Amino acid sequence: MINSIIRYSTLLVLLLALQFLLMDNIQFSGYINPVVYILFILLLPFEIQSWILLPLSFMTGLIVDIFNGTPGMHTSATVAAGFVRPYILSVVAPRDQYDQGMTPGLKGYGLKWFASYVTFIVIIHHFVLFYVEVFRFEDFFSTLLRVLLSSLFSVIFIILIQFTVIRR
Amino acid sequence: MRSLLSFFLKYNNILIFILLESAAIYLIYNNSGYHNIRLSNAAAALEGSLLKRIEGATGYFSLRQTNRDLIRENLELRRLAGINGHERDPHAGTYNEPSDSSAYNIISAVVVNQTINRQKNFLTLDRGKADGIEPGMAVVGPDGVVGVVTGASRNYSVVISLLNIDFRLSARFSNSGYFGSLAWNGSSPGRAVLNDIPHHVSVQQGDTVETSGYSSIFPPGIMIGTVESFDSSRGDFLNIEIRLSTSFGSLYNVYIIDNRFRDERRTLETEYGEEGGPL
Repeated sequence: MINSIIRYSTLLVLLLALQFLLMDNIQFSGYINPVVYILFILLLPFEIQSWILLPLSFMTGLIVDIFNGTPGMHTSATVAAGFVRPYILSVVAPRDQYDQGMTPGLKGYGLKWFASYVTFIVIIHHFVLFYVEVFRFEDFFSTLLRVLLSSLFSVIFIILIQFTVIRR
Repeated sequence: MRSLLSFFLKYNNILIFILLESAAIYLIYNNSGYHNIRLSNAAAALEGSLLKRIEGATGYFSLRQTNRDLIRENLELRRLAGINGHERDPHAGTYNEPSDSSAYNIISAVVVNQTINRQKNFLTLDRGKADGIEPGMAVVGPDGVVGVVTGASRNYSVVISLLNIDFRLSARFSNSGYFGSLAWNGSSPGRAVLNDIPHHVSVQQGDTVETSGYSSIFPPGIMIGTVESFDSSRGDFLNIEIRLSTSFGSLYNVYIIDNRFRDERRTLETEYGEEGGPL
């Protein structure tokens, strides 16, 4: 228990550092802003209860918001991602259900499963994030384009990180 | 009571979701507009000092480029000083436009943090109220307009960037003097759109666009960018795309310009005229 708390805390710190020091400084164009801290929510154990998952999402989003100076934006998006996580997990579940004690990851159920799981949640997260950011529906399609392009890059980066950095 | 309890247990995830999501929305609303301003002094100073430390490390990476920029700017200033020194105009400052040196006060600052990949971008500078910075002052870089100060703590100030979809700037052509309203279109960090220029104005690719000086914030004649393309096919006005001269990604040294008569002018204008219009 203590062990896993330490492990997840390290993961969170690592991801936040990666987000602030690297991802937020990448400038592909105005359309793309990859988000990788969401991987923390994605990697929490399968059987985690929502009364702990949602406050964790809230806390993660709040930390990002405080550092970015954008109160509420990342918080609302991350809470939404945490909320849909159980439903997405049941949608993409393999035929013979999840094993007890496993954590979602590349190793357990393969790239295809992981990619679809990540893609669903990242798109929902980015959808909330970018529409809350502009807070208007005038430029609906250009915002949608940003959502999709950023999601693509976020998914790629998340899978790369999962491949290289975090083997656990 | 028991049924109420079981209801809570059954729908606990939705209830927690609604609770936390409303907390997040409360945060957004409570800090709407230029959220950074509302940060208390202490929080802003703490964040600022942390950013300053990060900047202290990353500042080294761009030393070469910064030096080059400074040398170039020095040369430019020396050239201007030389012109003023040699051609001594006996009437200078008497009936010309109000002399810039008296109306505007210039403070140098360093960018300690900035965003460029959002729709609403801001910069943080290492000067604050202690240095006389107040909201409403103009910020320019070595290559032109950067933004306007929106909030200041004791040692730091937050600047709304030109790359912010809420930012409007009164701009004019330096050759013809026609003016319009300039806004960022939210897509590319190097480009903005100039509106309200009528069809009969002849526009060339490469024309220089500068601040008009119709606002009380920016002095007239500060470089904004050059015309990249224009489209006269639709609408009542030309659709002109401007390539911004400031490269926001590598911005380091900036200058904060304080118009000493800003308050006086603004009071007069609100009292007898219409308020509003672009910055």
